[in-house]
Amino acid sequence: MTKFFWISEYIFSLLECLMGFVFGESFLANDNKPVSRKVYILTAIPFSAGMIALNRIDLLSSVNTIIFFIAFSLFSICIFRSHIIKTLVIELLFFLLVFVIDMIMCSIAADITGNSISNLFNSMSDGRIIGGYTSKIVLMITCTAVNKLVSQKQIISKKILVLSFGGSVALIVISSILYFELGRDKASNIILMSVFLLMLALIAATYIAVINISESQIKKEENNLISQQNIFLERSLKEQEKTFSMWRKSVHDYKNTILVIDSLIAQGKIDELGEFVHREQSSFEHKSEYFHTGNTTADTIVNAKYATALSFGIPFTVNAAIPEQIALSDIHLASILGNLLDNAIEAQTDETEPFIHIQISVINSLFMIKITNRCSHSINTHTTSKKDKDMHGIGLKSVRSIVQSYDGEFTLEAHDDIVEAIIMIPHNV
Amino acid sequence: MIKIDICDDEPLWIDKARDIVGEYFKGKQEVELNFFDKSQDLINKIVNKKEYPDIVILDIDMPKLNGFETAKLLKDTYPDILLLFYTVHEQYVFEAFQFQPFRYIRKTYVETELKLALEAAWHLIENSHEKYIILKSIDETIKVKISEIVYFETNKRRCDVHLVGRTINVRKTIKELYSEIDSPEFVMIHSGAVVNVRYIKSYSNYDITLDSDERLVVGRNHTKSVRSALAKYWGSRI
Repeated sequence: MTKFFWISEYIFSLLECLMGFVFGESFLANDNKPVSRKVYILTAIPFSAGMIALNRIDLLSSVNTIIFFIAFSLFSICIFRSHIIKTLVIELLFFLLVFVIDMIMCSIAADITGNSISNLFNSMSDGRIIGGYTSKIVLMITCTAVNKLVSQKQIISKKILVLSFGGSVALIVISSILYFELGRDKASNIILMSVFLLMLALIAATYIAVINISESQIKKEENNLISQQNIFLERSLKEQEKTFSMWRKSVHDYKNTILVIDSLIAQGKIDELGEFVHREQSSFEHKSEYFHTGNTTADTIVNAKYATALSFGIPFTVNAAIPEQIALSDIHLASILGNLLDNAIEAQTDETEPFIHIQISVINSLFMIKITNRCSHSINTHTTSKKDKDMHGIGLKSVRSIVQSYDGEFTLEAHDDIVEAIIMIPHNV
Repeated sequence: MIKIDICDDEPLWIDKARDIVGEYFKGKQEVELNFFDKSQDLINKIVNKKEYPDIVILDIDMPKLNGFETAKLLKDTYPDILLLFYTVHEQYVFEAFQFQPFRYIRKTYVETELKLALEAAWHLIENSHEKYIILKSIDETIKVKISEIVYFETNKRRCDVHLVGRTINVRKTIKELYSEIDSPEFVMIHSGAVVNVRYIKSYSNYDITLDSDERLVVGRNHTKSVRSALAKYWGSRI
């Protein structure tokens, strides 16, 4: 029994220590210098051995806890190279968490095994071992949940949050009813114990389900984004084909034009010649307008959207000089420009003086995109005004998430009757 | 009063630009227009005589001193100048962007493009007023443009104000100074330092690099506000 007890104690200590690092990592770790998990294990093994040695001298004394706290905080500071006070606060929080979970689990275990709680803490009883294992399981679930939620910035929809919160509350209510109804009857200890373990298993299952659902939600959003990008590319391909066929036609027309000019000169009809040349010139201006941005993807999107804008009678200007190498991937650049230009076109269908201006350039080490358009009615800068919310609400959201993934910034602001969408992305290539 | 210099070797295009400028500002704002058919004359006015206009409309294809050479000289003397390149050639756009022009206007579409450029430029000019602040140190009192302050930081119970090329130690707390300056161009990077975003060259998650290659640490809670101030500052200037 003693051997088993001390082995269990060591495992508790090890788990606590590992979870302490996992918990600390969520708040203290520097995103750019990730710490390998191996470091945690290598630190935790000797550290928990040291703690067990201290515990053997005097089980659960307050001095041990303080030593444990200080030593652990020191290790954390060394591992995460973080701010001292911040580390102390986070680790203090962690210790409180451990304490609360331990108290709850051990008091339940004490009741089940028919011990008093002080007796349980200070002796090598089976109650302590049961309480220890259950509380460490809860601790592991809590810490990994905190870590996942904080460090990966997972977006969990409100629906799921409400569902899991409601589920946990229901579980707690059911288990406390069972506990108070059956708990005092010591004969039903075994039933109670199995119910309790079942509850733990249910909580764990709910937690895993929540994580899975949120991950699948993210996947779904990504898929939406990709399918939307495909629609863009398909559309712009058609636009390009149109442009090419227009060019081919122009070459053919050129021959005819020369013939006409030649004959007009031969007949000496100078006025008619002037009129003809003027007409040809304006049609040429129209045909030859093709914006070059320096990036073929951007060219495709910009020229496709230009054609759309033109069909709505929206003047379109582009000042773009995109360097050969940029941080943004082609698909992301296409998505940003496509979404923002779609919005700009749509916002202006009933404007009296519409325009779209695109400005793309590198300033200092910043890659900037600015799209300006007229918008005299008030705008909601966060979501969509489009009717089909399921399909379109994703536009600005996906721009925002793309920009965030490059550590950039996206702002959408209205001044007077002009709306400016500004994108800034570090240009470190 | 808005001052605009137009420089083009072809009188036809000067007339065109003058008409559009005149029409755009008619009834809105008084305009002082100056015309130059030689880029050397423009350089003489701005670089030598230091008579700064608000906007320069500059042709690229000019004899002797071309538009790019002129732009370089202008930007070197007066970096904040709003430069509008004015050209028939579209192929120059990449080269042109080295000089950080405010706009690149194609003469073929001058009606639309120049008008939109003037609207944007005027909006920017209207919203930028140079502010001054009086800084008192132990042995001197000086009046400086706030745009000349690179950053300031806490130094014991006083503040070190880093100007371009020098530092002044003033008897004010960082909070007092920050609220006195009260400009969106200044952003707090941690509890002990405030930076003028125009001098930030690049940023990462935990620090910024200034034009002088000096690196400053950014507090974790301040990264978001630093980024948004940068985006706003440069976003309004392109």
